[in-house]
This record gives sequence, structure tokens and C-alpha cells, in this order.
Amino acid sequence: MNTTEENIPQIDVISVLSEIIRKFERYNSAVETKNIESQEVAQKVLELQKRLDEARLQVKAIPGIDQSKSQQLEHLENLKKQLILKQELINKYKKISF
Amino acid sequence: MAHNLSTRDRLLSVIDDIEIISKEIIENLMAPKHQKTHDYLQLVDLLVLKDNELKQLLKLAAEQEKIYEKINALKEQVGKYDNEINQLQKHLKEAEQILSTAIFQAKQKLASIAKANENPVQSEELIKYAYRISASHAISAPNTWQQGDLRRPYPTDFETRQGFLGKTDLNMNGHGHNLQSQTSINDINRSNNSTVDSQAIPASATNQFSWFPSGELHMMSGHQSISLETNRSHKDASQDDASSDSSSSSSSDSQ
Repeated sequence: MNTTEENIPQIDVISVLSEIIRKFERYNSAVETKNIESQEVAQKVLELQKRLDEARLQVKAIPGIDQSKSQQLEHLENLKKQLILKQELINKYKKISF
Repeated sequence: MAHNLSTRDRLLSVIDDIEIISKEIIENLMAPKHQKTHDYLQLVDLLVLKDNELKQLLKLAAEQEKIYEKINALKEQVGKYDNEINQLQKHLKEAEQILSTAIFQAKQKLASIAKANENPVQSEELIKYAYRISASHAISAPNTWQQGDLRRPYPTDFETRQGFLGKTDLNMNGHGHNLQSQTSINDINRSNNSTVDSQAIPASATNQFSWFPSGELHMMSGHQSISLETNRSHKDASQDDASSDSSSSSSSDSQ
């Protein structure tokens, strides 16, 4: 159970975006430190891009989401039915007497 | 249509949407004043919506992962059952084969029993018959037989000459001496089986016909000996090397 929850990434883009906006405000209002501020803004934008790419990789790595939930549940039901049928077949074979 | 999309595809598309929106916001932020639009609120609202959607999809993904684990466990069990079923089917198939062979053979035996019952034979008769056919070593070699032993399952030329036919008037003329010296050897070989008493050679008068060891029949005419044509002279050429082990035993002069 725990491993399942760890596998799900926590994708947080809004915080980075809000930081970008804040930095930009600072950049706009700054007079002397414009270069530093612009560098920081650029850094933050890169960080945003990186976060998005990481998010994509993590999503691709999550197992078991190849189907929609309903399809998956259908698959599960089919497997359960198969299991029951095969169990019955095995019992039938074992009980055959000549 | 959204229901058929996999959760993974939905997640990726939401991430793409968020990327686009955030880029829009940043561009808007950095654009010079006269190009700015005032859709900030809308963009931000949209971004928040998408972010919420993303969080919900991630929860769904977590649930699906749990279901996926259950599915794997069930698949493993199904695999085991499949193996068991295959084994059982194999056993059944083998049993069916064995049984059908047994039934077939049993039917054959029943048929031969029925056939035998139609013409019953006394066991004593069978035993007597068996003794008769095996008496002359025509069925199997004697226990002491080796390679190079001259005995054969059929009467050989030598034995025939020692027998009744060989001792008649036809043959006594001129060859009596040779034949009598070989009688003792023949006795050792044929002591059990000889039906012809080689001692009881009928007294022969002088005869016009005589056999030579090579197998030719000569007739005395005056003081000359004329060779007579027999079937034997034609057969000799083809049968000289006849394998003495083969059992073409019907003719007495197959050598």
C-alpha cells in the first residue's frame, strides 16, 4: 500500500509559477539589481520547464494506468470469472470416475 | 470518448494544458504594455481548474495501481490453473490411448478365441505334431550346431546317398566301396534321426547304371560309359552356390 502511494508523484506547478510572477514583480520594481533579478526569473522559468518534464516522466512510469478505470474493472471481473470456471473444470476432471 | 482514453493519456494531456497556460501567463507578464491582454484572471482560473483536475487524476491513478496489483495476482493464479488443466488433459489423453489400445487388442483376442473354438484341436494331437516336425531338426538347429557344421535341416546329398535310394541296384555298381567307407561317419551324424537303416542295403546285381560323385548318371554300354542327361545337369550351374543355410528344402538335390 505504501509503495503505491509513493509511486504517485505530487506534481506542483502552481508554486513555481507563482514564484516566477513574484520574481518578475521584483525585477520590474528593481533598479540596481535588474541583472540579478532577470537571471533569477530565467532560472525559475527553467525550473518550471524541468518540473513539467519530470511530471511527464513520472506519469509514464506509473504502472496500471494503460486503461481507463472502467476497462480495468471489467478486466478484473473477467479474470475472476475465468478463475471460477477453471476451478470448476479442474474439479470436474479430478472427479471423473470410469 | 473521454471514458475510453487511458488514465495515462488524460494525465499527459492535462500536463500539456498546464504547460500551455503557464507559458501564456509568463508571456503576458513579459510582453510590453501595449501588447498585454487583461485575461489574467481567466488564465489563472483555468490554471487552477487544470491543477485540480491533475490532482484528481493522480488519485485515480493511485486507485488503479491497487487494482492492477490485484489483477496481477489473479493472472498468476489463472496461470497456475492453466498448467494444472494442461497436466490433467495430458493424463486423460494418455489414459484414453492406453485404454483404446487395450480394447483393440482384447477384441482381436476374442476374435481369435472364437475362431479357435470353431475348429477345436486336441492338445495331444498338437503335441504329437510338434514332436514330428521338430524331430528332424528342420525347425531349429540341434543344440551342438556351429558354423561349419555340415548338417542341414533338409536331407543333404550325402545323406540321400546313404539312404534307401542311394543303396538301391542303381547305385551299387562301382561305388559300393566308397559308400560303405562313409557309412560310419554318417551313423554318427544321423544316429537320432535316420529313418533309413543304412546297413540294410539290398543285395545288388551287376547293374548298367552308375552314379558318379559329381552327380552324373552314366550307363555302361559294352565297355564304354556314356553319361546320361538328367535334369540335374541343368540345375547344377544355378544351384552350386546355393546358400546351404537357406531353407529351400523341398528338393533333395538342391546342392
